Amino acid sequence: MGEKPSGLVQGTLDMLILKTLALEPMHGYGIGLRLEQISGGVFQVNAGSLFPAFRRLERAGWIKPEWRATENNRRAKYYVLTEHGRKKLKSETREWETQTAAIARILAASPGEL
Amino acid sequence: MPGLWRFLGGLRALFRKAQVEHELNEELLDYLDQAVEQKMQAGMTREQALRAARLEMGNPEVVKEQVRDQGWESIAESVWRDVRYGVRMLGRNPGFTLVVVLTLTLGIGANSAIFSAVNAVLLKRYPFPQADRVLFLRQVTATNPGLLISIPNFEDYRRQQNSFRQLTLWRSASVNLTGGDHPERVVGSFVSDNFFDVLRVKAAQGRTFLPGEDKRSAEPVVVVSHQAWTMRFGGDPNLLGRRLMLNNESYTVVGILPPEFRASWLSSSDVYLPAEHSPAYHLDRNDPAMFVVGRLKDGITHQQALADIATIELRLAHDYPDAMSGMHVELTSVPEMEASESSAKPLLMLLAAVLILLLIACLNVATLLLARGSARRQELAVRSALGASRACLVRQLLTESLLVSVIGAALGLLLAFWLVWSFADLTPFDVPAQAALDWRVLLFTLSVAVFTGVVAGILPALRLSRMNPATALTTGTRTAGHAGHRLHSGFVVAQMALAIILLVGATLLVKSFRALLAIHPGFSGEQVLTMEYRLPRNKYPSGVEQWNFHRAMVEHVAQVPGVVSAAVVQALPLSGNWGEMPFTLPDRPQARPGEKPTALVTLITPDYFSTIGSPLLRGRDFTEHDGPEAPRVVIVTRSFAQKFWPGQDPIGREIQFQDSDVVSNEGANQIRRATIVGVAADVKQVHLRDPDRPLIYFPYSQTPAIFGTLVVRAAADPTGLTDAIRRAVWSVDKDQPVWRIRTVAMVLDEQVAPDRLMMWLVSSFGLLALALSVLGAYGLLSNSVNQRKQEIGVRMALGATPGSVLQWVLKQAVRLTFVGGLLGIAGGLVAARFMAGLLYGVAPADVTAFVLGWALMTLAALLASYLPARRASRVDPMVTLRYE
Repeated sequence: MGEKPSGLVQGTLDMLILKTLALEPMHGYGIGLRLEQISGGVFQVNAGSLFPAFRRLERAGWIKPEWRATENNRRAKYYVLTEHGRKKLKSETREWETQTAAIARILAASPGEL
Repeated sequence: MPGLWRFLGGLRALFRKAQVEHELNEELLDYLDQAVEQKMQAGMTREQALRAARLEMGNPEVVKEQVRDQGWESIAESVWRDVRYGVRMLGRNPGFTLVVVLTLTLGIGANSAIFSAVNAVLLKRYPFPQADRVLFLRQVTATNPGLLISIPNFEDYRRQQNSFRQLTLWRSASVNLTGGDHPERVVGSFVSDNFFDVLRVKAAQGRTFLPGEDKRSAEPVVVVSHQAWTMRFGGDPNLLGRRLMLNNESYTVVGILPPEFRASWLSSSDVYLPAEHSPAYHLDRNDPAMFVVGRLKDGITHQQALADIATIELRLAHDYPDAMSGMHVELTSVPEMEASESSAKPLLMLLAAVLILLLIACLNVATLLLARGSARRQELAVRSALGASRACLVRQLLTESLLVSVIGAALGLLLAFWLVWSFADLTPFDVPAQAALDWRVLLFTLSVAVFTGVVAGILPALRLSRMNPATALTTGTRTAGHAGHRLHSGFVVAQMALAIILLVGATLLVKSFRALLAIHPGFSGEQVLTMEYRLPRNKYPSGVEQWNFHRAMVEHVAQVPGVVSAAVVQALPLSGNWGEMPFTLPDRPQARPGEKPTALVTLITPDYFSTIGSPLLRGRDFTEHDGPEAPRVVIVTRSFAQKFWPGQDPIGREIQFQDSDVVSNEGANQIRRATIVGVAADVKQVHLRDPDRPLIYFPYSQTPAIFGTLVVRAAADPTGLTDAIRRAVWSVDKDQPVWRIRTVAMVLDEQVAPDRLMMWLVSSFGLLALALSVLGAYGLLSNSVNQRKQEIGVRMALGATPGSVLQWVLKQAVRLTFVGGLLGIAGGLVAARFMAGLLYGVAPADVTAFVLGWALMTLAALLASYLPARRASRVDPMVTLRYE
């Protein structure tokens, strides 16, 4: 139960949430669970990080809330990716790929190259 | 786009708070449910699952707080909380709040009022677009600003130039309006047909001039200003098409201008008339007749236009060497032309003075905040102990000081509004009547409020928030700490220094004003009434007719009961009217053109000197024998005689001049000689503070003019004679208006009014500053005595005498005033340098002014410190020690 998502590079949580929602609309717990499952347990994201991120993304207009009924007849807040969010995810992903590729090249460099 | 979403989301959170909170709660509960369910599926019991899920989620309140902090509304909310808390705290201390708010109201209100005058004068707006691209063409010589251009020159410039869209003529003059109950004077502008096109102004009703309507041959038409329409013609809805008798001629009103067309040179006339109807319009290349104004073509710079005009000027100088000798052209934009140098400097100085006053008020408020902060240490310590960060406390304290400064600013704005509204007409500065409180004044006031709040609040806030809650809670209010005392002393020293600057400035202005009053203007104006008039040239075309009017009027007025004597002068001293002319002296070698000597010039009728009370030193006055056909005569002033014939008798000497240089009359360009028959005392013609300047008096009988100032000496107070004198004028010509009716005392007073207002304002700022800083010093010392009562008690118990305790407190006061005095004198020296141009007859570094300003502050501060010192010396050791 750390203050920050364990082992998560700062600022990437938003991108990961967007990606999760790109697959299907989900509620809060589901998103956290899905992140943990897909990452094979590497990322454990607690409520203290998830909910502020939801509020942040909602305010930015990248996700929007949708109230649905759950199986046991309660109202649950699902999050849906908006058109803006989809675009944002695309650009973030591209950015991420260029950055990681660059970092990988630097880390893989042999002494002679440096 | 995200910005908008964030804003709207924040608004929703603020205004539908319960709903948003409820949703967040529900969401968290759902999250917990899901987690429990998940864990039970994984094989935990319900209790185990619940416990694990709760552990995982942590404190739901913390999560909620983190979620709320994502939006801007949480900041808005905490600011709002601070404001509400601040309002409660201020309400709990009404006395404190009242003192602080009043201090700031005075400080900010005075600033806003002075700034609104600065705003109107220095940041003047013009009622036509791009005024900086509207230029005056000037033909400057060594002695002449060259604003007037002869009509033939204007025609040549207009035809040959390539850099202006159009050039136009303009000249304003008094115009007689007749046909009503009494003849009236209105201000007229004589303009070319394209004048309004050059300014890009359209009529609000009707039209402006059509092409060709500025010609003599055209049907006479007039365009009326909105102000004249509403004030003089009572807003007559049928004014368009009506005929007005102006200068004895009938004009048809074709247009009324929009209300905003006013206040600048080009836009302050009552009526706009065709250029060729101007009494000054002569087709003589030697006669500078009218102003020439033009609007630059798009993309043409000032420099390019100047080069263009200078080329034409060279051609003209080649073709007409006599008319154009020693001249060069200059182009001056409307704002440059109207930049009111004489008003700008005093206004900026007043603004500086009033800012210093505000600074002192800030320091006073800061001191009060600090003192009250000491009393609030417990409260601040409790807040701090409960988890408020230092930033939180600083924000809270700053919010409170900003709150009082904003309240002070709101009240100050009302005060400024009242000041401007009630004094706008009284100000002797050139402040346009619309010195209103516009958005610039509001913006200025707002910035002053924020500045005040931060300046007054920041140091106390930083100081008070820096503490250890544990010690603060246990030791109570007794020990304020050494650093707090030092800050407090700093405030008081700064206040004293600033107050000394203002006091020195005030003393300098008082001395300067006294020197100004001591100037003898060269005449004595007790019981002398003056009024101006201008004869319509079409009714009085010849010099003989003009002279006959002047003479007949003086005769009629002199017979009014109560009148001692009457005369006419063309340019009354210090009235704002004056003229200068070149001349030659036949008894010495011919000067080259452009290098001729010049002197001030005016026309008078016989008996002028006795009427105005200016002594004739030698020779004789003009008499009725100096008629139009008699030999030409002049009277010169003493400084004229001394300059050109030092140590010799000027009577009988001759001067040579051109008639048109004396007075602009048609066909009056003959070269003449006149004999000096008298020497008069020097008078201050243009400004009271000028050195004596040579002046030549010509007799109206020999060089008549259409303009005159009637001067009447009465046996008693002359103001009661106004109606009788006017009737006497109308008995000569029932259609001749007179205006600017005032006594010579009023004329003189107008000269010193700006200086007097400055003196009063800065002196009252200085006294206010003195009072504030004395209060500051008193507060500091009595605070320090109160806090050290026990220390004093112990000292006295150990053998200190009351005298030594008294000395001990006074020593503190001396230290404060010494440092404050040094800083104040240093600051005063800097400030006085900026005042140099505003002072008359007193050096900026005047020793008595500095000693006086310093001594006043020091004495007042020491007197104020005597009370706490005496209180300290009367401390009863038994009482203070037992009290513990």
